[in-house]
Amino acid sequence: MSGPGDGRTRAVSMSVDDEGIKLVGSIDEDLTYDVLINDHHVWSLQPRRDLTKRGRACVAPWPKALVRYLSGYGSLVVREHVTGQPVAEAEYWFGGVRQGLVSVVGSSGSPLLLDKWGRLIRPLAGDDEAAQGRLMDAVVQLLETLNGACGVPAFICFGTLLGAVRDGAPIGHDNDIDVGYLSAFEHPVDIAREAYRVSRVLHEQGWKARRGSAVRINTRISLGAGQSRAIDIFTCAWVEGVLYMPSDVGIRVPRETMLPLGSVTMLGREVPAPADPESLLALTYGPGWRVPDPSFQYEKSRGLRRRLDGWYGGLNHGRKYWDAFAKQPTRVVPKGPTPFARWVAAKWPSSRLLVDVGTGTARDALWMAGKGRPVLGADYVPSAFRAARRRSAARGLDVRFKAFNINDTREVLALGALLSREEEPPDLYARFFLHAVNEAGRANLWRLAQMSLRRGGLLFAEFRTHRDAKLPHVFPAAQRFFLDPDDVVAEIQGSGGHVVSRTQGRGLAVFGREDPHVCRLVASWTRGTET
Amino acid sequence: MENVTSPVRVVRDKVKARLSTKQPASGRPPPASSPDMRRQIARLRRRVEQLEAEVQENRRLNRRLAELTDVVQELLVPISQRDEEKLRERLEKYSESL
Repeated sequence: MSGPGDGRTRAVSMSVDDEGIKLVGSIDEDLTYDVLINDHHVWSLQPRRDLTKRGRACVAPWPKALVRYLSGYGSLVVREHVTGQPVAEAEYWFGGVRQGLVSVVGSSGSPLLLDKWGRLIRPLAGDDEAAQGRLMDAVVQLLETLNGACGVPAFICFGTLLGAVRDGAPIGHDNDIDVGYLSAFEHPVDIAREAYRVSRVLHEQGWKARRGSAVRINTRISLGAGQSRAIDIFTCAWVEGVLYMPSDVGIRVPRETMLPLGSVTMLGREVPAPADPESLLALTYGPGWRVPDPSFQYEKSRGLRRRLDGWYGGLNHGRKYWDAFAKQPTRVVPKGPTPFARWVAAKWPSSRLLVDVGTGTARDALWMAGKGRPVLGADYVPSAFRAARRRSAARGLDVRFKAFNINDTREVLALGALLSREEEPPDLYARFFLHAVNEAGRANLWRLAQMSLRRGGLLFAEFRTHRDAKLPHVFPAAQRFFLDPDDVVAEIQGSGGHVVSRTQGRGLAVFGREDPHVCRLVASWTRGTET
Repeated sequence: MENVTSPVRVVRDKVKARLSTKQPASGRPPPASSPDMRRQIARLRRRVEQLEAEVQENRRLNRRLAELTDVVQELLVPISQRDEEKLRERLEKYSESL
């Protein structure tokens, strides 16, 4: 069939095309329906939210994340989620492609499922028993560390608690594990300080963790065969009578709902849980929490989001984009040096330590190291420089790498203090970094320069100017701040630095068909002329 | 679950309520679509946006203060002990643990 496919075997008829699906018949607006393509559950839709009435029919466009997989033959089934009862079927050749099957799978061949945020995830249900067991053992160990060495009452929460109470297992369509702990404090400053202490203890105990906000830590558990799963650790705390469980829950509950901790069984393991999990789940997910609903979405409260983001957020600016960027094939970014690196090496040769802030794939860091100078590559997406780390080790280059988040002032102060103690002051290098961070990030870069370049050394920066905003770009311009060089110079001067060289225009950073308008600045933070 | 109503809506409803209780000489409230009312709502909308930005600015101090206190607390002891080696070791350990 080449036109829209249709099926009339059930009470509901479905037709499918490249734009979406159309259902005609008795759809219950209170139920959740799964969409299966070639026997794979790829999407769960909630009629009130996802379907639009058009005459007698209800229509839903294909979610954006699914579209790129829709090519070839698809046998589609819509089934009622709880009972698993099929309600409509259809067949369709997507994109007019008359060969191959639609296959919504990840790079490792695991089936993918659209989550409640509209992202494709690798559901836990796709893991084999051994992998699930390893994950559960890690969860038990982590909770022991939190309750023991960290000294905070920790428990499973959110979807993980829901699955454990409902079925004694994690929810199959979930893709990570959520644990939380209750803070002993009630002021956001103290809650954040305690969270910093907790992550230090976790680090000492060997847990590799990345901070997403002052009250959220992500840790990743290796399950073997190149597979891993994330465990998120949330700091939950009462502030002025409201229990905040980042990032979606702010509820008035008595302490007895949470403490003393009880336990529930999950895949045969006893795990700590809030004292009254049923009450907590009802408050979190509503009275219908016992009925599985993969299409569930939290009610968005603007006030709650603003409050939690204001108190604890701001560390993650742009990181999702760069996490995704780092997952792209390596050929996207050339391996050789940028014109800026060649310019710096030619005009400002030096053998002192070069600190490449926002090193990314470290293409310039490796080239600089190859020219004989020691380099420290720093970036808040360590997966971006993983390949470079291997290459530099193989080539015996003097390059170190460091996970470093410019948005976290603690990291800036600690690195600044370390660099200020180097025998010879380093140079700082920030190519295409300034336009990728916000005002707070820029302020922290100036802070790093103030601390580390006091006795000498230079900052080399190249960034997109405000005149680049409307020019064509190879990569999407989202998350960029196109900067007026005069403003950047004023900020440098305001932080005690002075510009020793300024060049701007096009033709300086040509990349494929893109010729951006950029500015190159060299700045010093020494009082005299010594550099 | 907390249910937060849009501050703009709250203010708009209050303005409407207040205006509707002040009966003009004619005995009829000004229509909600009158230019005066629209200007007043626009002005209040801008004011709420400013106030929201100011609230957020204050909230951001929480994390900043926590960060600074954490650094001072973790690094002040070796500094006050004037133990150079311990300080470097503490700095490196601190930096790695973040």
